[in-house]
Amino acid sequence: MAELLRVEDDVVEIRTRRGVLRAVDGVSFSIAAGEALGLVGESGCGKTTTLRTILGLIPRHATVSGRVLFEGEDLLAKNGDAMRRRRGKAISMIFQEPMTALNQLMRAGQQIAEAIEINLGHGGREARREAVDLMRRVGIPDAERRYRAYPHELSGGMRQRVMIAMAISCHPRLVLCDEPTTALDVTVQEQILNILATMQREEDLSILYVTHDLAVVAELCERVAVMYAAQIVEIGTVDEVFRRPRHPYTLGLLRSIPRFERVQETLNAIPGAPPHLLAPPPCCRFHPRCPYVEDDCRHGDFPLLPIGDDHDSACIHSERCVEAIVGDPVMPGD
Amino acid sequence: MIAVAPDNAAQSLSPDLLPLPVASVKDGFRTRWYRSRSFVAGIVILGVIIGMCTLAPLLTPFSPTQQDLTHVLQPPSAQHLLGTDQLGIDVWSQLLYGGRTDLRIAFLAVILPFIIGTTLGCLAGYYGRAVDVGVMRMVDIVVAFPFYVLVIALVFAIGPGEKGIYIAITIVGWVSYARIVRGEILVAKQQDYVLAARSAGFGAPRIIVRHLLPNVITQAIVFATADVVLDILAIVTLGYLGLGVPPPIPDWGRMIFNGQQFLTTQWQLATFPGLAVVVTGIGLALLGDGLSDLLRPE
Repeated sequence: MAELLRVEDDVVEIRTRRGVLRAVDGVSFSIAAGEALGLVGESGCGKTTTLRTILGLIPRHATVSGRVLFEGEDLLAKNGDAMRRRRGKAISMIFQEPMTALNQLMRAGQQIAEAIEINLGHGGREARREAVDLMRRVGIPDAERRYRAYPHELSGGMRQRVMIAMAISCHPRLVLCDEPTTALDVTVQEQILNILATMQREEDLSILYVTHDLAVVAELCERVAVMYAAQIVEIGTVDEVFRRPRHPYTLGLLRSIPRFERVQETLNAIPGAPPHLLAPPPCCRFHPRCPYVEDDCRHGDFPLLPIGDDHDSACIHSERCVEAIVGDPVMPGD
Repeated sequence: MIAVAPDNAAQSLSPDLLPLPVASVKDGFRTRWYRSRSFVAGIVILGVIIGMCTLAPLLTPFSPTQQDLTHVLQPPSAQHLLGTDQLGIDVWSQLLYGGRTDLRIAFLAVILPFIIGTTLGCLAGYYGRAVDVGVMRMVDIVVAFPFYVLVIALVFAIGPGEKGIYIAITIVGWVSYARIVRGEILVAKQQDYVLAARSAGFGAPRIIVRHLLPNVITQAIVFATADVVLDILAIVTLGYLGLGVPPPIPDWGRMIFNGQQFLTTQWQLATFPGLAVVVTGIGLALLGDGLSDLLRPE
């Protein structure tokens, strides 16, 4: 598959009163055309900031270095105007909370039509027709009437559908999803994921899906990257990473999902808390919480190393994970 | 509970497929305005005052400028409802025609400050940095002076009359709008819908005008109703000080000034223009209060 997006050594530094915070620290990954990559990790680990780097929408007091290659062009080297013209058209974004991401004072349909008018230069009437079409395609019943509805008159699921319609309205190649199903209840979540999957297929979209919900990644994505404390610690195909995790953090995450089959008194949480990014531990950032920590984890660099076919891990003792899985599979039925 | 259950069940099955409640679509300002008592009261008071000023020629047979030195300082009578002043001019006519002058100037005087202040507030709030510093320093300079001191000084420098009042009020008045709108923009631009608009590839002018402005203009509109009151007071004060519209154009401020020397004998000369100012002010305050209730987003 042709490569669509390659992020190389992305570093985002934010100046704060107490020092420089590295919100994203040397993140690299790539997405092929038509592929869905899940980016998972705890809150505050830099997932959303990584997304915003790709769109060039990071806060002003932050500085970015590295490269974001989109169809071979470095987006970080583009000026503001060139970047703006790519937004919506080449790359678009879906937000977590459609209630706040939609303009409350504009009719839902108008917001879709506006994007079409601006980015594709279509006339008002044509844009309106396309917007209604899109609303139908994302499963909004009675689209003609809902075109005129204000966001607060729509349900959460309908609002998120409007967001999706907006995001795909100008035929982007890549859609960045920032936890679009987190604020929705489970049945609606399922519908939204189905719509995203359908759109991905029909429009040959690439999707970068940020979430902390591993089940969603397993359902929608082909590949997954696991972030911990501003760095990617493991990346690979969903099947590989979820069945044979090679980083203790990934293993901990997967083990912490409550399951029906395992009746247990307490849930398996990872002990400790993620490090503060103003003062991350040197060396492997996970070592203070790692059950398999050894002396050599406490110094040196821990780059992602290939450990299998399309499977990289930053852990130098990844064989310990293999041992841990034997006899206690991560996925039920393995 | 039992009676409600089937309804709930239907909703949880397909919350998205229920028909839109028709009423909710129309549940906007147009159908709700009468629910705010203060808005209705304000509208009624202002409506009566503006109506009476507009219909002045029908409500009084006398000219507001015609002197009649044979009938000076008359007490209220059936012919002269509020009596006459020291030049024999009918006070009731002066009150109605003076309202025309003062209200017209007050309402027109808020337009320019509103536009200028809102524009600069938007720019300062959205772009921040140098633009913000520049605009807010200008605001600081104007705010450093008390409102009346600056307005009176400016009118004195420019020269009395309507034009001077407009210019002075514009120079002093825009700062409040700029501050209000800037503050609102600072909050609003952090919202996801602005980020969403940016991620859709919209440029800054479109985001400001189409997305931010409608969300922040409410506060400026509500303030404008209070600002009209402030302007009426300023105009009346200027008239009282002899810096307002030149005679013989009737004006409440000058009526109060002229009437105060006869306060012990002909109290109605100064009292009724004063009451007119107070009642107009109350009407506008109620209107602003009601507006802020009605325009507050749910």
